[in-house]
Amino acid sequence: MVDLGLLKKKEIQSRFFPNLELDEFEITSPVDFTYNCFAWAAGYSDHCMQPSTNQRYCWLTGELGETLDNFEKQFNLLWFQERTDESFEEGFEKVAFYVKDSEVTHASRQLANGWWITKLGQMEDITHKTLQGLEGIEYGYVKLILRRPLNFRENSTIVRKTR
Amino acid sequence: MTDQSIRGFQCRKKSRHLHGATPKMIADDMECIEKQTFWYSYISRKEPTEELSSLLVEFEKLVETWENAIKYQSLESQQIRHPAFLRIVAIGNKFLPQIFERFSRRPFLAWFRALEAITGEDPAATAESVEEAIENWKEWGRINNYLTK
Repeated sequence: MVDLGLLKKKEIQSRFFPNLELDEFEITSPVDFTYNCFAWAAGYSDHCMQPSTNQRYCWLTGELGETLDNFEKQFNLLWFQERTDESFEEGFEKVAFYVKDSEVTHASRQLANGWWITKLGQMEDITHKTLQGLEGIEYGYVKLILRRPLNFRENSTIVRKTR
Repeated sequence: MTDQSIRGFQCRKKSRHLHGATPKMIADDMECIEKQTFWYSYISRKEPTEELSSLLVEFEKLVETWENAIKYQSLESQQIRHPAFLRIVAIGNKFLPQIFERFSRRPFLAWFRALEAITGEDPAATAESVEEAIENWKEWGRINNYLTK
């Protein structure tokens, strides 16, 4: 019997992310078009996040443009306020941003086991051991990593619009 | 639409002209014509069906190419930048049922822009989430007979 999951993994790896061959990764969700990688990196699976003035997208900065600066401002508003590296740190959640041709293309979030979770566009979620697994032609390279404390909600008195 | 159904449409028009038609029949025909402008002009010009067939083949191929290229891109702006997408929008008014069928199965964000550009409508203008926007467009597609379910 053909293992569709395995075929899908091979397609993801061979056609889009060849560096995953040196990594370990698993598909962890079915396709769901209602959220995208940036929303998922911030922990939301009920909306899409992208620079836009259209109210169907959650974008808090009010600025347009897929620049790293704009994405950093957006995630600052979601309590990812400190720049850091990709190492695992107890008590923190990290988000890594991939940039290609000066535009942000993708974001991944670190899990409690040190692996990273990624929504591939509007398609499947995967977990992968390293950030390098997704680097290459499709997403470019990691240019920024931010962190927020896991207990960020308890420490914040600011109510933010996150839809 | 086959040659036979095109001939059927022409026969109905001729029959109504000869034997008279109720206002409702005319209105139905007019609505049909408005909704299927392409078919109307196609019939009027008596162009060969091969042209449409080859355009449909091109359309399907473009959509496959485009979806495969952008399926792991998250941003609408990056999805619409692909050259195949521009061609899809350019010829899309002839294939709205096919676009709605694709959109209902795989609602990539860029389809919103394509549908807005092709139809001149935006039933999702007040939607507060992508999920709501998808439902609004699907409902619009059903109301306008581009989508059956």
